[in-house]
Amino acid sequence: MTQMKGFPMPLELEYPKELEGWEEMYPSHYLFSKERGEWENRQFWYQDRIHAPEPMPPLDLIFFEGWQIALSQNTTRVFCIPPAQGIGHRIAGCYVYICAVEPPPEAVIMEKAERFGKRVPFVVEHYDEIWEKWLNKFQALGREMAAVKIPGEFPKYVPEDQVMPTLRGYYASYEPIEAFNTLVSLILKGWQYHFEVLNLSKLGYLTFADVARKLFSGISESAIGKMVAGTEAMMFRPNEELCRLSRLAASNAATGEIIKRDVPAEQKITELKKTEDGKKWLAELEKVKYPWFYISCGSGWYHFEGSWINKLDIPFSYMKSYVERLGRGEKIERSLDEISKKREEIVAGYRKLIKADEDKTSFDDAYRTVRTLHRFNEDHIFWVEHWLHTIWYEKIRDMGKLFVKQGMLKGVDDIFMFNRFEIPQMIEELATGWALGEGVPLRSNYYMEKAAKRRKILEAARKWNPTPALGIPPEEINEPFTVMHWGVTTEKVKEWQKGAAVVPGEVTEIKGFASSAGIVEGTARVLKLLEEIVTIKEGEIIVCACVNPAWAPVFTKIKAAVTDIGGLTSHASIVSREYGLPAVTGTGIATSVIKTGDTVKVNGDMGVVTILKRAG
Amino acid sequence: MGTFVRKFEEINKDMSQECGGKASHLGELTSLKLNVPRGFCVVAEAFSYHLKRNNLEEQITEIAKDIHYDDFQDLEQKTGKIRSLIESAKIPPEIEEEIIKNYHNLSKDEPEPFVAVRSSVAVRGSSISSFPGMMDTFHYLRGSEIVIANVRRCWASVWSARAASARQNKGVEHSKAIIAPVVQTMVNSRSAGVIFTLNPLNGDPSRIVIEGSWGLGESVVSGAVTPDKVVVDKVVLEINERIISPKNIEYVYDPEKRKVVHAEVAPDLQNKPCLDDREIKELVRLAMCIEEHYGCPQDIEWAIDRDFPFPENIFILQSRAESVWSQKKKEPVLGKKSGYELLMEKALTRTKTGLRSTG
Repeated sequence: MTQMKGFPMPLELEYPKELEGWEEMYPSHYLFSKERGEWENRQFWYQDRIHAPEPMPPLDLIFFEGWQIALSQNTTRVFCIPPAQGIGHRIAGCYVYICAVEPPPEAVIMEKAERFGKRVPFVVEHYDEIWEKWLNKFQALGREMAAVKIPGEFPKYVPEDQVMPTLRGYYASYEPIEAFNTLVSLILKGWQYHFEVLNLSKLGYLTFADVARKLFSGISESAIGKMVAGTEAMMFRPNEELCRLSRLAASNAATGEIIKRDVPAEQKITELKKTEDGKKWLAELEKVKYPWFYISCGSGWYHFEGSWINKLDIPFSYMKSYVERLGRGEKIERSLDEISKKREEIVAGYRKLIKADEDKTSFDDAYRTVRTLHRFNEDHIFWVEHWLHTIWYEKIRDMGKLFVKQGMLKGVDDIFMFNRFEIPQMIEELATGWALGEGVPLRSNYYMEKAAKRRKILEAARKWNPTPALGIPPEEINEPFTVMHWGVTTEKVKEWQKGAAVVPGEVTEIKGFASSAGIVEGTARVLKLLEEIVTIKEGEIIVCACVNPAWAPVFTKIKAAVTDIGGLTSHASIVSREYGLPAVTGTGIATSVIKTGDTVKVNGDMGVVTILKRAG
Repeated sequence: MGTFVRKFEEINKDMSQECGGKASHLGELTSLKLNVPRGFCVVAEAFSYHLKRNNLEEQITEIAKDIHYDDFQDLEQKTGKIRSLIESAKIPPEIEEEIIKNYHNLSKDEPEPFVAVRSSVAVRGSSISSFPGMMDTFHYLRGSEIVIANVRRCWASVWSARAASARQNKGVEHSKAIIAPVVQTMVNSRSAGVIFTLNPLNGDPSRIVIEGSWGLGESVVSGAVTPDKVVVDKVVLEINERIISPKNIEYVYDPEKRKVVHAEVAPDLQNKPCLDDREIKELVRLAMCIEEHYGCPQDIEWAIDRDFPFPENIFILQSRAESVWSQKKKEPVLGKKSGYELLMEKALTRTKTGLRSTG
């Protein structure tokens, strides 16, 4: 048996010296360690560039802490998917590496199979019910988080009503302690819910894919995706609301005019408040904001991305473009009926080709199962990564404001420079200082310097190009999630091994996944920063590290999408298929090879991007 | 409608007894409004008439009854004799006139266009309507006399050694052989090849496989070049696979030598695809239309003309039922399994994750 040539072993990885001190930013169990070395060396670790394309700010790691446990336990201990184990995490130089843990011993597989056979059919049967319950309890959890109160400051003396007529017994010092603990509990619980049946929905997908491949050996992953992808997905709702608001604005000349202006959102709102129609429109906007503006401007995984609710310029820029397009008589909505109809036609098209009746029955049943299970796969993203994370960031910023107010940190967002185990210490110190009385010093400089130093480390890490993987890869990569979701394939790993011998200026052809079919040519727009999303022009081809589901509004405007990261079931692929745009994902190098203004040809049938003409 | 000639527009798939298999299919394809090179068929009756008028029937029967089919030399010698009888006999003027009139009417702009003469055969009173690869096709013919000469040559090919011994093997009486030559406008073929409306390698009914090369399609059919290969999904119409092979020779007409030659492909074209995406899409559309019409997988010959604009340059030359996979009895692939059972099966599949699991 031949092994692929290895990547650095975890503990042999060398870091740039600007990163010195990165280890202290993260929980100790997230670091590679000698005592677990033998096990760690047996796993193949690759960078999770889907969820963590950028260096990880210490507090944002909490979502990873949550999902490492939640995803893994569902596979290993809850639904007991027989040969599969969890997805392990480590951090190396501020980048997250993950591995699909090696399968358990044979005896355990058999034990799990028995439980799996009992538990999973039950879930499939009661799926609608489970999903409804899920939504209820998840929304309740989010409301609970939204209700957490973080004091704006420590009062000089506690208010009168906490003393008389009844002594409350606990006071300002305790409030932020409890608040933070509650926030942490709720976000972790939210992430436990996140995976409630997600693994099953992925498994359902894989099952259907297997069935399709047995019947049609040449069927592509994107064709399978087209049969499964849902149109009702919650994730598209915010955009639908924007379309509705845009139509409303466009139906009134004055309101439409204001929306179309080239000024910040705040100024538009001030203008709108001056007219009756404007006020009516604003009232409608207010209704939509909750929950549909609780959507990240990016993936939801990083605090600095912001959400529509606190970056109104983003949704307003989308609406500006919608109103303009309505003015030109264009259609801005996706036609849901058309998309559903198209999907049904595709399914019927394949079904028609099946000869044996028994096979038709099995195909139908597998299809029903996957469609049932798949709903969750797309709907949960809005509620967890967007809605709940937006609430979390808001609350954490309230906590940041308290630190700033009390002189412990310089900027509100500096709180994200500390991990969730460090923040309680800081709160405790604040509380202690306040309780001790007047003139008691805080270690403010210690924290401020630490925050500044960590920002520098993260900045240095951003410039660093770390190895895509660690350890010795298996000769063949066939763990389904690794391939489908993260886009890590045997070929991709081989490419990684060839190293960074790419000279960006000389490359004319880039290969990736054929994630959404179609062939188009157009001008490339390379997005490096989230804010640049508003600069995209009609008919351009978006080239980015990773497409976020929140970018739906630009998908009615662009011609095609090309990403560095992501497999066939990644969000980029799903969104592209939903909007019927050609997409090539997981190219690894598109954003470094293609420059804004280049003329490119995107071949979503073959997974190839060709640079036809370089800009200027 | 003439006595001895039928235009493609006047032919349908049920007329193989009159026009032979190939012509009846070409007529059917023409009626589908597919772009089939214009042409006509010299009906079976014409051949019988030719034999009768020249009193050849008895002579042929005489020679044929003594053929020793296992003696190749004898076979070749005796059939050769029959062929020369057919070819050298004067074609009855009423047939000749009709052929020439139709030939001159083939093209609006050119009274004497290049044509191919192809054989179209059947067996009287039988459903056999082709002897694949048994009969000859003559390309790039021009001028009334040449066309007439090649119709006779085509008639004669019913007595090629291969065809005669094939009939003998299948127990088909020689007198029942029907031949109805097709005279068809030549496509000035830039690229050509075949389409299967299933994957011929594994029978996957959801694929369309196109093979093609530069020049005339014979280079692909005969296996003289490794063709480009494109695999397309029938349902979502995505291109799944595209293999561009080095195509170093092409079959083209050499106007000086007045014949088809095996020419070296220009070096810069050898590794270029012989079809672009637009052409592929159109071929797929046509292939699906034909398969839908016949209700079974097809094996189709196509050519792309150098001179016409897209899509008029895309021609369908022939279509017949795919024979290998279509005849297999379709066993269930999955068996009757419930969604759970399939899910369970998938869940039990071992996957490779790291070092230990590769062992």
